Amino acid sequence: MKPILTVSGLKVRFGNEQSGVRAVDDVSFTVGKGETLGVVGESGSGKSVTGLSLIRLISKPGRVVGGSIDFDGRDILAMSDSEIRDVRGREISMIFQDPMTSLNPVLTIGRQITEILEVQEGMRGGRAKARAIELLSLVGIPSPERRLGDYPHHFSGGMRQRVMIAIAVACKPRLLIADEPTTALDVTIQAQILDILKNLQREFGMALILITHDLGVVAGMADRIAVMYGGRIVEQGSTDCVFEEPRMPYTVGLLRSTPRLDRPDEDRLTPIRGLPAEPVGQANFCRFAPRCDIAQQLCLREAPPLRQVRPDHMAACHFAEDVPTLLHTSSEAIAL
Amino acid sequence: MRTAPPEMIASISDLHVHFPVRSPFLFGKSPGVVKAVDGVSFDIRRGETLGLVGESGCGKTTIGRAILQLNAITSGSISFNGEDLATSSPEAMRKLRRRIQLIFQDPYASLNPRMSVGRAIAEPIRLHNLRQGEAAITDRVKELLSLVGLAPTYMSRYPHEFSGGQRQRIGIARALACEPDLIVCDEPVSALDVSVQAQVVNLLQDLQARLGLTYLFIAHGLSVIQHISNRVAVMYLGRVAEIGERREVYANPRHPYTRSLLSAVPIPDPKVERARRRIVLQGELPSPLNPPKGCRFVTRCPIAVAHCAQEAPPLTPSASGSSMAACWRSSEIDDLLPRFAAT
Repeated sequence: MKPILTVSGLKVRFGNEQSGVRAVDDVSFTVGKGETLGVVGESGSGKSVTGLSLIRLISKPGRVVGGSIDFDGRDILAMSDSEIRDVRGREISMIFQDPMTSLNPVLTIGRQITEILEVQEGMRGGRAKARAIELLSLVGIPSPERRLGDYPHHFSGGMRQRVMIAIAVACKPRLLIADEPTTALDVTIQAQILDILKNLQREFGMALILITHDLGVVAGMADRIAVMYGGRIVEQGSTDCVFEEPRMPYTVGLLRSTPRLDRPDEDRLTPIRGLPAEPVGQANFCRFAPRCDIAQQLCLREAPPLRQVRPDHMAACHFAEDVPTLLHTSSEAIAL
Repeated sequence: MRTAPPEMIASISDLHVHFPVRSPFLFGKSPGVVKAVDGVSFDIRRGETLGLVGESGCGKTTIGRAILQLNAITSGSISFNGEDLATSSPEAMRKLRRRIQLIFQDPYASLNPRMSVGRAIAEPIRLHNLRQGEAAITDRVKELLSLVGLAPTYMSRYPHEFSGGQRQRIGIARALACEPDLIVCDEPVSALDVSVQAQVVNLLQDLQARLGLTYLFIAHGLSVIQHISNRVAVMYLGRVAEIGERREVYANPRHPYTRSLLSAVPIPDPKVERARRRIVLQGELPSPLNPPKGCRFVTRCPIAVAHCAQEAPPLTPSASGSSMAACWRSSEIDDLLPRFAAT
């Protein structure tokens, strides 16, 4: 089946060719209909910029300097401003970490939902209001007809995120981009929101790009994952493959740095030494090499391409084949 | 008043911290008080890490701040090394305060951007007269920097030149400069990236082993709390829901809130995630202005009965005695809710 979204060789740069930040540096991936792609990475890895560029929300000094974004046969990057406005909210929607900054504080919730129905679907009056109530109950807001007249500050963080989701799915988009949708929420509320996203996806057959730093969240939600580091996808594949046998030392490091609830007797975490890389300038080397335990001369001379290492699993490491043996044995040597 | 037995470094007894809410209108009637902490008692043992966990608004940060005397106590008492903080003279209090330090979530906000790191760390040393003479102070600052894994040459740099993880190390060095016994760590790793989080967690553990520190480790992340704590207190809406040995609380939770929290934490393993049964709590945290009568958790509890809404349950010990839970149904909870859905 043809994927709904195909991104190839996407490059987003902030600043100039030499010293600019290559926030997204030659990124390619696809998302199938109704599929969930988890994009994992730390701050500065380029995961949010990737998400924003999909609906052309990159603002100056950032710009897309290469690649293509194909959404259901149409080239997002070639669209006119009015064409992309038509796509936003109607076919591709996006929700963010902090719903308070995305909601308009001086408009009622009801107005903010009916607005998008009006603009994108031409729905007005009683029909739009009825649909707004339906949407609010869909995202689990109790007594929705009474809450239409409330303002964003009347809602808690979790409730605001529900409102944002209601607005995002108002036009039954075929792709929802969720950028850290539960990061600001408490864990019991996070469980509720993830539940809602799953149910909506089932209901509308919507594809989901879930951008997060939390490996636990993607493990439970994603069909496939892409791990980003320094503006690049460094590992990509089915969620099971990547978690079961990561082939990129960075992914191994992330998993080992995370304390796990189901491992109560783990004595010590194994952090990744050093600090996350800033993707400045051209990189003819592996950006992870300075922090990598198995880096060789080759890693400093040549950037490893993202390549197939086994079915449904790609990694950007010169030594991807050796990662399981090399890192399982050398795990004790990783120093603070 | 209760005095702490020798092995206790601090004792909190029936602590209440209430915040009056002012009316938005000048002469309006006050709408009430927020009972941020409402009857909390626990001890902190010397040399241990006590994890204080709960969701936003549960009162965990307020307790930390009350221990540091940064929030006025409404009633109850906090004693440190057997001395009641509320009745200490200002002079005694200044001495006590040096021995209780705080590490913040956001080290950038807690460092003066115009003060070099060296000066920031030297300040408490001068203030408390811990070293005499410039040379001795400088030596001590260098020693502290290397203790937290930073190069002593960083002394002359300013906070903006450091990454989040490095700033947190500076915050730790500054706390250590006072030579404290107890450090209140308030979400010390929550703002850091995963790979750096582990570095700081390991550093805190190393320092504890080396310097014999006691930590009150406040966090919302249940996995970090499990990893670092000896004992754990789970808070909900101003009260302790469950407290005890870490192993007991995590392996055999006896409060429905603890069980739902544990079941909600995502685990980075797709196979485990697929096999889990979640207890998805309904509704949201009630307003602390108007908390429910009886058990605080009653409005969201999946196993509440009529009695729960009438009378607040006391903390009762488990069969093994190594944990206490405040739930009327804790003895039958194993028949009612899954223990912890990960294998």
